[in-house]
Order: sequence, then structure tokens, then C-alpha cells
Amino acid sequence: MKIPVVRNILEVNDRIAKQNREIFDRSNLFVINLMSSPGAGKTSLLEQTIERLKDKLDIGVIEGDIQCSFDAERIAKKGVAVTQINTDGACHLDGNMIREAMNQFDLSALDLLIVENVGNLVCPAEFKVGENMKAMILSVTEGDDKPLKYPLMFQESSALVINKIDLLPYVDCKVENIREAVSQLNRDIAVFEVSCKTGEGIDQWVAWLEKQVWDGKINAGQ
Amino acid sequence: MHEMAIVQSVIDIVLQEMDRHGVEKLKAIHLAVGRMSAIVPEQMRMCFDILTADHKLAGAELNIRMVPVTYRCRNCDQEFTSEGITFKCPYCEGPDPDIIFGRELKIESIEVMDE
Ligand SMILES: Nc1nc2c(ncn2[C@@H]2O[C@H](COP(=O)(O)OP(=O)(O)OP(=O)(O)O)[C@@H](O)[C@H]2O)c(=O)[nH]1
Ligand SMILES: [Mg+2]
Ligand SMILES: [Zn+2]
Repeated sequence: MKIPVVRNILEVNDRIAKQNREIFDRSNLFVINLMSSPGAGKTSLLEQTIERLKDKLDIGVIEGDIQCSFDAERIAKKGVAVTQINTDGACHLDGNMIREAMNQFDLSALDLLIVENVGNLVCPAEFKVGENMKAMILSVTEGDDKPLKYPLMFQESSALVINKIDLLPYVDCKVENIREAVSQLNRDIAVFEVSCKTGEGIDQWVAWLEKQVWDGKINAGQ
Repeated sequence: MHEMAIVQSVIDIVLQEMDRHGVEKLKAIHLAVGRMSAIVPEQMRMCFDILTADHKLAGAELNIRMVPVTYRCRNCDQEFTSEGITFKCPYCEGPDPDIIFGRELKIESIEVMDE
């Protein structure tokens, strides 16, 4: 005998993420969930972003790492509030982990909270944490076939930062191929080409991000 | 391997439902998983076996129905399915159809052992 159930498997996480979001909204705080493969440049992009934005916005960072706290230390050097989540092997952050970590900030004192997810191109895409938007990084060293191989994260993200463009002469990867595949997967996604090493393209990304934060605040205030 | 976390959520929900319906032993759990979700079914079955060893769900079958991706053309409104990703409407060749099904991660039913 079959008993119908019809429940969303991730209902508990979705609910917690929604509550997180309500808490963030009450503090008028804009939250980004930043995702990519290991080593694509999440922490590097954060360092660059913080440097350019910290005089305009109060920024907090949650660092998700399987182990160790190197990334949190790198961010702390930039002079912003940071806390570390060790996922103990888990390949993604979830709503509960963020709930614990966010309690370590004075949320109402922040404008922007950036969550650096665990380095993984697949798993984090299924788990909401309470973010206003997801952003992802693809580095050119990973190849231009990734959007079609792992479409979900590209579909879920509002922004794609193509990083390490300083390495384009040395790798078999065409930015146009990435752009074409991505625009077919997600026609609303904003795409940026940057190098965290040379700083090229970072200003455009930062300007766009700052606008998202202010627009988010205006909407929340209405 | 996020399949572990997802299977743990399946088990939590199934145990609640068994409780609610006064069921002691299950023959199978039926899931619907969209092809667009980031799930590897074999990984899920493996995690299920690991997590249910020595458990009242031990031996229950985890049946995973893969839901094909269903698109709706923004140009001609036709719906069509595909096993993978497609960017063109097969009817009018219109670009970028909307995905309307294929992202699901659902429990559909639990199947009770026949007496
Ligand atoms: N050439 C080049 N190297 C870069 C660039 N951005 C980052 N890197 C290097 O790539 C490596 C990984 O960068 P991270 O910023 O630590 O990457 P991540 O995504 O935070 O890595 P995980 O947190 O371990 O997943 C470091 O050695 C960086 O110096 C870039 O634009 N060009
Ligand atoms: Mg990092
Ligand atoms: Zn059509």
C-alpha cells in the first residue's frame, strides 16, 4: 500500500533560510551567498571588494570552510567583521549554520553580509541560507564547458564573475563560450570579467554590487 | 557530498510520516528528483544504506523517479520535455525556453510492507 506524502525534501532548510532572511530584512541588511569551485577566487574577490567598499558600506563576512581558518584570517586583515564556520566535512553551508554564525554579528550595524560558501560547484546551489542573492565565480582555468556541465548554480545566480582573466593567454578557455552558454541558462544574470591579481574589471563588479545593496535597502525601507 | 544531508532530510520526513500514519515498517520510499537538480541518484542510495543500517528503515528501497526537464517556449507557448539541457523550441525554434519542471526534490509516497 502506498501512502501519498508530497513534501519537499529540503523543507526544513528552506524554512530556516526564510527565517534568516526575515531577520536580515529587519536589520535592513543585504546578504550575498558567494559560491564557486575550490580555488576559483572567492576570498581574493572578497579582499578586492572589501578594499573598495569598506569606506562606503559596513561589511561583514561569514567564511565557510571544511577545515582551518586561513580565509577568515585573510578577511580579518582587511579590517571588517568576520566569523568562520567549520562545516566538519560538509560540502555546503545550510540555513542552520548561518543562523549560528549570524548571531555573532551586530546585524543592525551592517549594510552588507557576504557569505563565502564552501568551495564546490555543485552542492551549495541546492541550499538556501537566507540570502538576497547568489553570486558565483568561475575562473578561466576551469574551462568554458562548466556552465553546461553544472547548470544549476549558473541558473540560480544573479551574478557571474569570470575570474583570472590574466591567465587567458595560457589556458584553453574562451570567455565568449562561457558568456553564450550562461546567457542561455539564465538570461538575467550579470556577467563580469575580472582578474583579482591585476585588479582588472573589479571596479565594474563593485559598482554593480554597491547598487544592488542600495536598491535592496530602498526596497526594504518601503 | 550533499546527498548525505539530503538523504538525512528524507529520513526525518519519512519517520514523521510513519509516526503520523502508525506505520512500523516500510517496503519503499518514492522520491521525485528533477534532472536539473544537482543530485546523483546512486550517491543518494549509497547514503541511504549507510544512514539506515541498524535502523527501522533498514532494507526499505529508495525509489528515485528522475523527472525530465519540461520547458515552455516563450515564443509559441508549446511545452516540451528533454532529458538534458536544450536552448531551442522544437516547434518554432524560438530561443531560451523557460524551465517549468525539472528542479524538484520531493517525497511522493511511502510504501507500506504488505501483511
Ligand atoms: N593568476 C590569478 N590567480 C588568482 C586570481 N584570483 C585568485 N588567484 C589565486 O588563486 C588561488 C585561490 O584563490 P582564493 O581566493 O583563495 O580562492 P577561493 O575560491 O577562496 O578558494 P577556497 O576558499 O579554497 O575554495 C590563490 O592562489 C590566488 O592567489 C586571478 O585573478 N589571477
Ligand atoms: Mg576562500
Ligand atoms: Zn516555440
